[in-house]
Amino acid sequence: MKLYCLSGHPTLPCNVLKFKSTTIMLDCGLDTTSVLQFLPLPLVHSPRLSKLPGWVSKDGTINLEKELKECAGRVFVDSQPEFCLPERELLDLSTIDVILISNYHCMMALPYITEHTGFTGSVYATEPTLQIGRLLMEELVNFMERVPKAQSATCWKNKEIQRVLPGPLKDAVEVLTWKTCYSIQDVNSALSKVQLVGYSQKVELFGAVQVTPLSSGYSLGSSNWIIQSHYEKVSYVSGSSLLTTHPQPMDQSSLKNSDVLILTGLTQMPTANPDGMLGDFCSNLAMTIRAGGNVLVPCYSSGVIYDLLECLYQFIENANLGSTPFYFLSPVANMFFEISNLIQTNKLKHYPSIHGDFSTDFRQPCVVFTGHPSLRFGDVVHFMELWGKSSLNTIIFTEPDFSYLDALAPYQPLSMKCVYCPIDTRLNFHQVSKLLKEVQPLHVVCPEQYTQPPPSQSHRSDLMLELQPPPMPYRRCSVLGLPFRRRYERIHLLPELAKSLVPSEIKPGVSLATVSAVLQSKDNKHTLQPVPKPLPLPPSKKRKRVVEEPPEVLAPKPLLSGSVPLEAFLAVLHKHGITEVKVEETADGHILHLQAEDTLIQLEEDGTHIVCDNNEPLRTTLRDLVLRFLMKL
Amino acid sequence: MIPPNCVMDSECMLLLPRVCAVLADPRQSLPDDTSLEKLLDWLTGLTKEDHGQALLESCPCLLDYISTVCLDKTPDPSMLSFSLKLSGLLAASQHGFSLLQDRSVLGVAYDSERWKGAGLWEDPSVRIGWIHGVNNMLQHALALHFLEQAGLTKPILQLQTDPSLFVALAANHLLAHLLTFHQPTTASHTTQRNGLSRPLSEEGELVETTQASSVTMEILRHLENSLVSDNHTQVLQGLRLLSVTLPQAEAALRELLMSRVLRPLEGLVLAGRRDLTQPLMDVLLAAYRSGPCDSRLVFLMTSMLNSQNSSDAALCAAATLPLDTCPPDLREKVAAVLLEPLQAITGVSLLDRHNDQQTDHRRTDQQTDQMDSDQDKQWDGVSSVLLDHLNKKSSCISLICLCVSNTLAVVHTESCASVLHAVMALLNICNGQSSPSTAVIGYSKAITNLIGCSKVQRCGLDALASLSTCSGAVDLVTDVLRVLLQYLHNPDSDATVVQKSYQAMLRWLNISTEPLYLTPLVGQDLLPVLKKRMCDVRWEVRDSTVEFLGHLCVSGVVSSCTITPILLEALSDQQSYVRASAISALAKSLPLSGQQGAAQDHVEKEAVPRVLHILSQDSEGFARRAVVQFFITWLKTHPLSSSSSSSSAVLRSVLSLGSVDLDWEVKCHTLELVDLLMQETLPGQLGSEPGSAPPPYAVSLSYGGSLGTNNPTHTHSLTSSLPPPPLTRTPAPTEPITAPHLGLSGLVNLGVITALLNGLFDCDRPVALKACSLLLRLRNTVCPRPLGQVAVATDNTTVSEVMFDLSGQVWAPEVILRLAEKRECDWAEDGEGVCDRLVGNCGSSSEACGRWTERSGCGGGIGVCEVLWSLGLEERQSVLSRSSDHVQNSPLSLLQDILTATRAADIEEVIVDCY
Repeated sequence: MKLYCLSGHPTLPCNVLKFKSTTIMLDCGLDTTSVLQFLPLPLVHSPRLSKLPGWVSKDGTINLEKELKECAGRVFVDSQPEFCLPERELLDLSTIDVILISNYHCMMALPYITEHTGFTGSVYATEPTLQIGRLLMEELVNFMERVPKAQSATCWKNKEIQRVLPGPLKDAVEVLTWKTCYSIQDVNSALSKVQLVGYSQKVELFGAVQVTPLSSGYSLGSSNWIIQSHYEKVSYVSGSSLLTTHPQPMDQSSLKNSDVLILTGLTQMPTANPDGMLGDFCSNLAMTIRAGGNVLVPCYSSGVIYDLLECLYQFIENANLGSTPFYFLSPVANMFFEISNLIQTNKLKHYPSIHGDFSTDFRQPCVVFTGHPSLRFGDVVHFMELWGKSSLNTIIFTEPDFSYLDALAPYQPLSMKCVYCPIDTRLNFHQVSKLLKEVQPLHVVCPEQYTQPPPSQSHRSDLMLELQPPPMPYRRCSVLGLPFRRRYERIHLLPELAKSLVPSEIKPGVSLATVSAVLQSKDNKHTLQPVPKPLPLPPSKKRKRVVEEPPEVLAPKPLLSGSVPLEAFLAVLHKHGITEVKVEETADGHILHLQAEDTLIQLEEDGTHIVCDNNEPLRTTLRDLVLRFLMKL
Repeated sequence: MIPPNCVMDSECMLLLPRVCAVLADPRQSLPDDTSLEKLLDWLTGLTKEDHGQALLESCPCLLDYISTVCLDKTPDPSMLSFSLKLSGLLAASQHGFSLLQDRSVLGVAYDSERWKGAGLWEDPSVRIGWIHGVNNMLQHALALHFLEQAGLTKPILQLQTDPSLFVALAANHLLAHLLTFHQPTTASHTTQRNGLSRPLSEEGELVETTQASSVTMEILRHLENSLVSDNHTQVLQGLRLLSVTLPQAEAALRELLMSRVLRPLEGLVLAGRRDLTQPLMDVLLAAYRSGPCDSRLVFLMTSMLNSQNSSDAALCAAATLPLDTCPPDLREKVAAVLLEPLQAITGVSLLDRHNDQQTDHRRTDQQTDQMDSDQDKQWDGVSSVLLDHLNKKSSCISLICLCVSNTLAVVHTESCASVLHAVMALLNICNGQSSPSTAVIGYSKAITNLIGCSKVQRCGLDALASLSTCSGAVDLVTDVLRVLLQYLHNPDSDATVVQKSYQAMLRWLNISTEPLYLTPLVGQDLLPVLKKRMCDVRWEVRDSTVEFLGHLCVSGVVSSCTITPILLEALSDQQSYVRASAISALAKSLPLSGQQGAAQDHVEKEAVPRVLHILSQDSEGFARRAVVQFFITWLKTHPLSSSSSSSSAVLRSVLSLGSVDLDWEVKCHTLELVDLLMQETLPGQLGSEPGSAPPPYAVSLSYGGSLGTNNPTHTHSLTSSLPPPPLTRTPAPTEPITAPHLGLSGLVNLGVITALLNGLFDCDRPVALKACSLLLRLRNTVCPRPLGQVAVATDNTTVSEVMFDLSGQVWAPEVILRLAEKRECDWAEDGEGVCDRLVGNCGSSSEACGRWTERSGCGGGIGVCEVLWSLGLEERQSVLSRSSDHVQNSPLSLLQDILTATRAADIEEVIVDCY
């Protein structure tokens, strides 16, 4: 059993599990932090961005003026933003049988895996995961395609050139695997391979293993997975939460008795308590509005925003913000939004874009929720340009996926106030250690980031996993041999075969029977069938054809069991006139040296050997003496 | 509970024999068992003065009752219990004791074997009655003698371990009473109160010199045996008896006690039983406090501090701390026990320095070496025990809280700074912000227990606040404020933690000698976070923030101009508590308005109408109460003399709204405002409350503004006779005294009289009472006696002419009725002429007098003084000052209840046919 780790990002996992004869991909998260190296894509022409100077190395030898632009001391790639894909060289992606998706954030790389790689398997996900995942993908494609870039930058990726680039660009990893966004056709094709499953539904894969999604409590439709055979159980825990608001609560009890538990998707903000952050979000929002400023909240169109809106709904009345307009801008209509109280009570207005109706209804001061949280594309870019110059306005970051300082880098200098209230409801270390204490897996596999405190807070020993035995860490491109061996396989006996068995009791309660049968293996199911009787020869009057003799079916010899007690055996030998016996003790038993006969008898736990040259009568006698002590079946 | 009444009135005296007869009748049963308790309370009150001597003389029926019940073989248990208590009460005087002895009641009543035989002893109420009886009686030597003769000590000692906790407790107190009642004396004994004395002498020596009663000796023997007993309850009770007795023991008894118990105590301490830690410590501390310091006692206390269990040791240390006189070594040990966990967690060195200082001047080098090596040996063991303790979350938190809460008492002036650093480090740890360098190796698990723990945070913040009084604290103000700011910034801080942070911050802001030097920190760091906290989702946080802002205004660290806009915003908060706090905070900023100039005045102009709006519209009482308090402060800082006509209009509104509010506290506060106005308007005339300062401001009312419903109806030119209003108050050596009639009409103009009458006729007793006393004060100082009684000064004529309008008031008919009654009465006495004069300009006298009962007034108004004299204020006051249940709670009512209840039981049940 092996685990191939294709992504090093702890919350955007992509792992492949080889279990029995199946190859199962667990999630295919897309690491979008790479877009932070790119310049924002403005919706309307931005003189500021277009006037940024190009980058030339200090000695002037490398000139990448066209590809790289400098802004406030940092260098950005001026090209269509690209994403860091899961590793594709570690194993042949066409051999993957199924892909299990745990939540809509962890499926964004799906088109890269299922399209153009020879993938022929199926994808399993719950219905909300598929629906919201589709929305997020469509939104991403829309954000990219509505502001196409003529050029694409590739020179900077040259290893020699990248080495001399400044700042974070120099340290960017796997740049050669970075790819621009997929097309809507890819999305449609990839999603057509998804098969919907419901919580606790058991899905058989080739008869070899059974996979089951369990509610994980993190987001609508989010699930953990159990992959099990008759004798082994692997749990895959990804993005789970005990702080449920909208989704179903997490199913913890089904995770019990796992041989291996693969743990990913813990909170990215272990020190930020979601409740405190929600409170902070509301107070900062109210403070800005009271002072006459606007509030910009860059966010995904699904996920934390539900909780934000729920909380705001309570808060707006209390804080006397009833008259402040709240806008939500997203190119895709989100049906789940309709359940929100704010939409129903007409306090939050949804627009597909800044163009059209929005421009006529727009009133300030206001609160705007819009994507993308990286601030590199989407309507948020426009609001950054619009409001960034006034210190009355505030941008409040709530999504934990991006460093807010990096996100803001291409907008510097910025007068707008920035507030960082990352809200991540996924399990924190305290909760996960409680969970593991309860479900008690034999082994835990997790990203290496979870086995040590965060680098910025090296003293916080409470922010890591401390387990006994210690968890097995993985990183991008790791191949882990999972630490347990398969010992058993289930085999079915056909009734007619079972009928023919005659068990004999060898110990109280333990009966044995010998079986002679034909083992048939098909679709990973194993069956013992009675040995077919030789077909009676067809009567033939004509010339007797020499047919191959059917294999002679010999009556099986009886099986022996038991052990040879040394003292008693020596006594018997003595009785038979063999008196000169030298007994030598070995690691596994004894060697009896019959000196006069020049014969050796090896008595071992699992075998007896009589070494006797050229004296067949003696060998037979000795054999019979040995057999006296053993039981026959 | 019935108020103690030392004299029995005749009605009760008449009823008591019947009650006694009823109670003594075994066929009667009391339905309400609290009535016996009430009866006993009342009788206890009656016997307080003379131990019941007078009571027995006036009510011999009590004696009959007691003998009937006690001589009965099977009395009701509750009745027997009552009788035992009562007999003890009556036997408290020698006379009563003899009377009871003459009837041979006591011997029978206190024969516990008799009650055991009757099966009554099993009832705990009988046992406790017996104990209380003995305890009550034990006031004189005769009683002690009786106790000895009757052999009562043995049953008392048995009751000490009674299964009923209440009985056991009472028995223990009785034993303590027995020990301390007749204390032994020593022939020659000197007590050394200062420092260590010689070790206690052995028992043999003491017995020779001490004349202790046999009872005392019996108890002591029992106590000694208890302490070495295997029975946990017995040991525990023995310890409790000791800790109750020791504080009351005089030198001889104490020495006797200690000589007996010190050895068993030693055994208990060295056995290190965790379940006895607290009671043992109580005994040791009681012993320590009660007499001269003894080296063996100090040794025992030190042994307790060496307990293997850090929590126990810390508990003992915390208990030892308040000792005023503490030997230096013990004190050092206490400090070590309390500071060690803190040092371990924070890594701030507290103990070494501490020890160094101690050793410098208290020990010789040799001693130091010896002790240091001993300490080193102990250290490893103790540290690992401590570590185990800190690794467990619950014990870690309780231990650290205990240590931190006691830091202030531990610190010596020298080590203050390091303790302060340790507390700051602890707070940083709790906040998850300790830097890696300070984290101590091996304690990371313990530190994990503390991160985010609001209980420790609260204790730490309290400690930080109290440490602000340490010397050298001034140098650390900025550091401390930075820590506190972190707490205010942290969105995870619990609401109570935020509140504690504010409290600590106030203390630290106030110790700074130069507030100016803090201005950048306050302006750049504190104010923004306060603004944010004002928008917090939790109202508790907003509330604490508003309160804090109010205190900030007073402290002067921040100019109130920056704070008041925030407070004004808070006036429209959703939560009434926050609104109330905002109003109070605004009130705090009022005294500063004079200093802050025009900007602040502007704010005030904005604030006053808004709070008035709250008074008239807010649905919550808290906010409205705060508004009235606001105006009380406002009036104190803005005397009417120096303010404009609009101020009078504002006050008129406050009075008219506040006096008819739904909330009784709002009404009471309004009357306080009235009181203040009266003092200001009639300075020097109105006798202010005893002890209070004379009214601070001279009055000069301006009547230029529009007048409300309280228009003065007489047309004297008021303004012409007034001096020009002073703009600012100058403390004149002699306060000007305003003419009473001007003052009174000023009050009428402000609506004070209406407000007072609103209060007087209010259904809430406290309001009516307060209004009544204010009206009385006003009447007695300003108004002339009604004509025909005493000749009055000439200007009282003008006072009596001050009128007010009562039209539209709900109480108008009643006032008119009273006035008419009064008038008719006077008329009958003095004839028509008087009526004429009183009605004044109301038209023809005889007509007017005849119409009083039908008409609502005289069209224009009624004389204030006349109304005040007609209301019968004294009578009202005496009625109002009695509590509403005074009738139900009287002894008479109780006796009647007992009689009625038993009589009702006599009457056969009435079966009501419902069909």
